[in-house]
Amino acid sequence: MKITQTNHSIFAQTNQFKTNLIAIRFFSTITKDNATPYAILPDILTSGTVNHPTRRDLTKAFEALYDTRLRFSVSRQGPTRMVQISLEYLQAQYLEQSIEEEAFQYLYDVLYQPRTINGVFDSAIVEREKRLFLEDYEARFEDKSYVSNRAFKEVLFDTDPYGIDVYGEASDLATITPQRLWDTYQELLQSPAQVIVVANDYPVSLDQFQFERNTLPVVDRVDVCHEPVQFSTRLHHSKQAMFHVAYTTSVRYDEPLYYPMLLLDSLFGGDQSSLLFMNIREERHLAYSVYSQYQPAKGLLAVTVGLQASAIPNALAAIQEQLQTILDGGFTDESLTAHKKIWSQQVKTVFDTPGGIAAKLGFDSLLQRPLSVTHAIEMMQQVTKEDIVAAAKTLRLDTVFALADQEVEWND
Amino acid sequence: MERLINQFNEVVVQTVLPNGLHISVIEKPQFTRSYVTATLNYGSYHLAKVGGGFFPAGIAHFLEHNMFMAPDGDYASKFQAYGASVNAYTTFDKTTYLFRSIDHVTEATLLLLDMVQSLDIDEANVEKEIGIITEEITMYEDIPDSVIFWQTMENLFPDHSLGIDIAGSVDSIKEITLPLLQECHAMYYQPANTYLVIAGPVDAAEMIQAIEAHQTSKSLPHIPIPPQPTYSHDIKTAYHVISHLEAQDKLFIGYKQPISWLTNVIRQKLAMNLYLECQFGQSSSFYERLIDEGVINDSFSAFAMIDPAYAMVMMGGDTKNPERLVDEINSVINEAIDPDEIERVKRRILGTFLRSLHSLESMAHEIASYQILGSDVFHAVDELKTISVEEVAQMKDFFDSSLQTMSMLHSKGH
Repeated sequence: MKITQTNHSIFAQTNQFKTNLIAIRFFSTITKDNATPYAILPDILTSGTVNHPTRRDLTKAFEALYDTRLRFSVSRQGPTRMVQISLEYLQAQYLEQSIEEEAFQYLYDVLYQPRTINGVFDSAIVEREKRLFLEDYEARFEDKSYVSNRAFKEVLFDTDPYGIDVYGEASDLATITPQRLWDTYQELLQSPAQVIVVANDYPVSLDQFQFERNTLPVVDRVDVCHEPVQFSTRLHHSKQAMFHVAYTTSVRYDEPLYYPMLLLDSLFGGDQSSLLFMNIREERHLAYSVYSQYQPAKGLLAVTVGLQASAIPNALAAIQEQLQTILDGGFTDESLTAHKKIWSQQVKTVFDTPGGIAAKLGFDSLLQRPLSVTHAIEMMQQVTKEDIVAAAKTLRLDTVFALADQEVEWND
Repeated sequence: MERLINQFNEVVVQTVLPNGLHISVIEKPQFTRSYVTATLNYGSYHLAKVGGGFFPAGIAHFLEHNMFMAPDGDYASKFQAYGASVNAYTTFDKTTYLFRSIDHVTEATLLLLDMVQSLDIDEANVEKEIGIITEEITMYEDIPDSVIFWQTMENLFPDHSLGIDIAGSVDSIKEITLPLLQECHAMYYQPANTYLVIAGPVDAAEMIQAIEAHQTSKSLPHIPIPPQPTYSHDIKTAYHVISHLEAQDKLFIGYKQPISWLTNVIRQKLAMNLYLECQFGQSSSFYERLIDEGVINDSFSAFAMIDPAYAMVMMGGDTKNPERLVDEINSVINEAIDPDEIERVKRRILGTFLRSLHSLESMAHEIASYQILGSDVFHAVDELKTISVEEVAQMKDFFDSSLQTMSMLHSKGH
């Protein structure tokens, strides 16, 4: 694979795949005020264009192009929102004809030729999408993990903007009008953008799109800090409780202890061979699922467990014990080597899908890292046991939270 | 050994070893990692015992959990030593063990066979697993979509193992014992019932040679697998579930046909998928109309499960107007299908398939699934092109109101 970076785009040239992928990513700062209009905007833009006025017309057009996929999504990259529109279409050699020109025309239409009435989005479409947003929003609460994560974030982040839900809030819907969405759309088109192409040849049709490339921060330097440690229970009518433990760390992306912290996360609760899985699930039989997750954008390491509410105090003790094991250097060189290998494989594996390549190169570019398959692996190989202990020493217990059908007796 | 280069330039090498083990190797030299699956033609609905009687519900899934125990530790650590991550899952009709790895793919493949072909557990392991699986079952009881799906399955198959949750119930798994697991393993985990697929940058001939040498050193007895009983025409109807959770109101409709309906499983499967996409898919007029009118939202789906042992269709999702949704579904079933719609959906399915060729996971699973059916996935793609308008139109006869059920889920809060 040959990787070329210009001012406007990153081009990964490969003949590994049968499709070409183009991802256009717009970046903006997440605020409480703009989260919901940005969350709804992708659904409005894919609801109809000048040439394909209804959602069905558009769906049919993409189906006829051999399942050409247009994906429009919103996500969080640290304090920054990323709105991504991606197009993936089959290469001409696998079809009777090239569909590139048509596919790009549809992409262009979605982005620049939306269906409008009196200079703004069609109010009927806006009302329909607001209703669908509300139904989808309410359905999120059927997922206990979502409910639990949301409540956990409310406790953990409180008024910190990091706690704003990038997928929007139903309580904002009353303020969403065709004009407001139109203004958000104009803002989107003016925002810093990044284009990533994963293709066998550079698609010339892309030249009709012009973007200004810029960078926005993806690291939040504001630390979460609760002193003393906060313990909290939220009551919920589920049969199984969810339990979260958050540790703070000063270690962010690409700082000296960043790679040790990634390995610590892997050893601690990364997979079925991790300390938490082996101890909490396999030895103590306290839970079916248990894992840890390092969030380098904000400096957090969080453990999540699904278990019976009565087992929560024991699980907390077990989590603290396993962290102490790492602090004491009580893990073998073999397990360290094995986790390095697993992590390296995960990085290499990213390059086995077009979406994985686009995500990795795009993110590395935002962090101004070298665009290389091997850079991260080389950094990881240098990590020692002492580095991991040093990373563990930066962790501080901050928040302990349970979603359960009963109050938890915290022994704090 | 048969080496095939198909119409999409994919190289697939297949063979069956003398002990019956089915092997497929997909050579993907441009990929970094390999993906390997060992699929047993054995899932949650296989409960029949030799000489009559049944195993407790959930035993296939229970066995899958126990297979990770090794004579000297656990298999997860052994795979980890090769830099591989191992996992498994159980469905109605299959149990699949899998790993992903970049290095030591041959060694890890042989380890996967060791893992699948021996059961190394004791009573304590069984006891421990009851606790873990009880937590897993409880977890799914908190998911409204899972609750209504299983209620609809129970309604459709009230007297058959298809109507029971893959993991069984908190009570049924308590009946599982070490001797029962050993009996199940000996019968269903035989090489002849195992389909091994290796996809990645491997040399097929070398890989097959290594597997052959590994398998000849093993003595594996052949035990006949009993036929599974078929299901009756009985149906439980109009069942209402009150969820203990906050949930949107949901409606699911299920349809079945006796297995005598099945005359050509692959063609009927393809024709039914075309029918459902044309009539109920996201590009159908039904979908557009009901979305616009607020009857459904994007949670609506319609899908078929067609296999030599069962034939069913399920459709539904969140709705604020279940009566209207039922009327619309019944009306659309009888509507004629536009031939242009069929051609467009065929192009879509072909595109989806071509795209799946660069997913090692999709390829491995599709190849094993079609091999178990006695066919191959590339042949099925050719067959798709030959499905006629009449074959698709005939699918409406599947929807017999006497073999239909529905489930509605209401939240306590609604």
